[in-house]
Amino acid sequence: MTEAILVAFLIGTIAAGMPLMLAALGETIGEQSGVLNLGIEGIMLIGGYFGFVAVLMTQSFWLGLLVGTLAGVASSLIMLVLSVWLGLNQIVVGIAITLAGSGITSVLHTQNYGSTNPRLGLDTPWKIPFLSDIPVVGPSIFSQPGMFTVALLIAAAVAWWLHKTNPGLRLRAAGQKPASLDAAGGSVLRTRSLAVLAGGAFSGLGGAYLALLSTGAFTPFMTHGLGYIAIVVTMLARGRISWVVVASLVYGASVAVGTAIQLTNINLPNDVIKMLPFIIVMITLIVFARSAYIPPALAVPYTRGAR
Amino acid sequence: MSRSTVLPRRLAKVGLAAVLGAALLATAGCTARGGDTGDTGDNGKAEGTKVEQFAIVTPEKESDHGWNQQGIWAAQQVADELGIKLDDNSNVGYDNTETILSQVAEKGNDFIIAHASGFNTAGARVGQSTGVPVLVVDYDQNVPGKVATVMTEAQEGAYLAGVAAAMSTTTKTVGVVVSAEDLNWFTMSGGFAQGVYSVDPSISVVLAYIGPAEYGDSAGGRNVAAQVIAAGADVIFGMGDGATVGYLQAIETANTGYPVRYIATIGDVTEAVTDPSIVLTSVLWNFADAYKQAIADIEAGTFGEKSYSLTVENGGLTLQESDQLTDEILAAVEEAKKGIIDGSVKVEKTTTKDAVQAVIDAH
Repeated sequence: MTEAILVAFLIGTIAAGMPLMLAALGETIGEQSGVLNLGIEGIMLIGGYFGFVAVLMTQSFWLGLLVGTLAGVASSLIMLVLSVWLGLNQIVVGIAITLAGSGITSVLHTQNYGSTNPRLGLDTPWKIPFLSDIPVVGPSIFSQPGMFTVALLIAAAVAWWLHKTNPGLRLRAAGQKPASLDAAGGSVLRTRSLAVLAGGAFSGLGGAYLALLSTGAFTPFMTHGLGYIAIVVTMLARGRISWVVVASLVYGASVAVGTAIQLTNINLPNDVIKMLPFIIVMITLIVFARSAYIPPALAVPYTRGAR
Repeated sequence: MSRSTVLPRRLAKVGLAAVLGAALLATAGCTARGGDTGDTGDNGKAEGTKVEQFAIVTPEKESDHGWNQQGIWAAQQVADELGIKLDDNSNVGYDNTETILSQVAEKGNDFIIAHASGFNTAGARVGQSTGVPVLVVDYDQNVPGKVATVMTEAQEGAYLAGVAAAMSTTTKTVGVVVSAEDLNWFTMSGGFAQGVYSVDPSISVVLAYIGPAEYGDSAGGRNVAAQVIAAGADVIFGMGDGATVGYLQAIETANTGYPVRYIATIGDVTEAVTDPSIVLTSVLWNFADAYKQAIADIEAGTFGEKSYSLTVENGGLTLQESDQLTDEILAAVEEAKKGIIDGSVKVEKTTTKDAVQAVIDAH
């Protein structure tokens, strides 16, 4: 395997892994507060589409990422109102968001860009001095768009906030024993509402990362189930952000290794190559499933005084 | 219950059943338009029918710069040339195909082009049930008067592209990026590799699939194409519908220090790229002659007695003209074309993934 192929492999790993990591971060925040958001796939597509449009109009990738994030927040308002405030079934609402997000973005893209399929080019990479000169990892890991570094910093910040601060403790209490949080003077509804909005923001950002930085274009249904993988990663990580990061990058590596295997002339069926990331996730689940932890109040609407 | 009350009820039931039966028969008679479209009769021989309006049904819009584009453009060209009306039913997707095709048959069309391999079964069923002649693609059986198929000798066109690629590469490595395990993609991949090796057997052909059915996976397309380019390929032969967007992004943003060219398949992508010079050429599939012949056969009452082919010889497969094709390349392509037509060049039709790999492994 040549240096160029290794560089391409690492770039491919990051391109496939980072959108998943951001989406799984959002899902983690939501699930820790007791809200299961199955609409993450649709929210990613909405974030990706509107981020894509913003970059086309402004040529600014940062603005595109911001717009994608805000689009994610806006679309998560549906989950907020219907499931958190009105107590409707979170699974049903989540699936509805996914279907709506997929359909709306497909229609909008086909209508507005279907005949031209514009692409965005490359965002200017942040070349980290000295480190970017190291063979293989330099041009791959240390010459990524700025959002790569920012995303890792965000992950570290979320880990610290979730486990080391009082708001983080309140968030986890809302998912584990919401009545206790309520009795202690905290607002379960407010905590969960903010968690849903934060989850939407991260999912939208993940979709925008996929469209703007990993692909450089938007195409209908381009997430191809990434939102559901994010839910699996979240379940597996049990609220540990470091696990979210590692699992996402393992997924990315297993996606990129499929092409690397083909380039080395190892003749594997395409079905096996395509299944590889899912097989790895499933094996990990089988190994760790017994210790998988789900917040006791996950997907259970909170009603004060209800038993 | 007395006999006097049971009898009228029975009579009423029998009457109701008779009325329903008659209604069903009448409905069936209305649905089957065989009477005025050349009903095949017992011997399956159709009578000629004047085609005054025909329809094309495609799964996506013509903006795919490939399969759908070429089908729709060819149908429009034929409609213009023959002065008949085209009923364009593009972008219908792959769901409820039989219902859609049946509805198209009911719209007064004298001929339907079901332009997707995924429409084959439904197209054949609709052709037989409605009596409206249906043209499908890559199907294994014709039905006289009702169903005929278009077959493409895709390996021949791809062979010419392989010749052009081999004469263009400076790195002596060319790439093939495929979005799905598709019969036409297999035949084209194998034909392309044979064309490359015919010019220089020492050239390396790097082949990578996105997956078994990832036609629209643009992110995967970019990822795979980028890795193929990293493996040294400076000419990419791409097959992929929506995944093509990813291929083009990978090529346009490649940081190689030398130009990377793209060879498209089926349609024209020059309008879809930022810099048209990255497109070396495209293997164009020209359906117009096949459609015209099908209409002529319907009018002669011979539709469904044979399949229609796209070949290099009949002009169904051509390389798109481009400034990147130098005189030297064009001369080599022309030589290969003559060889295919006169039979001195035999292009193996690779119909499976293993067959394609065998061609590559042999070098």
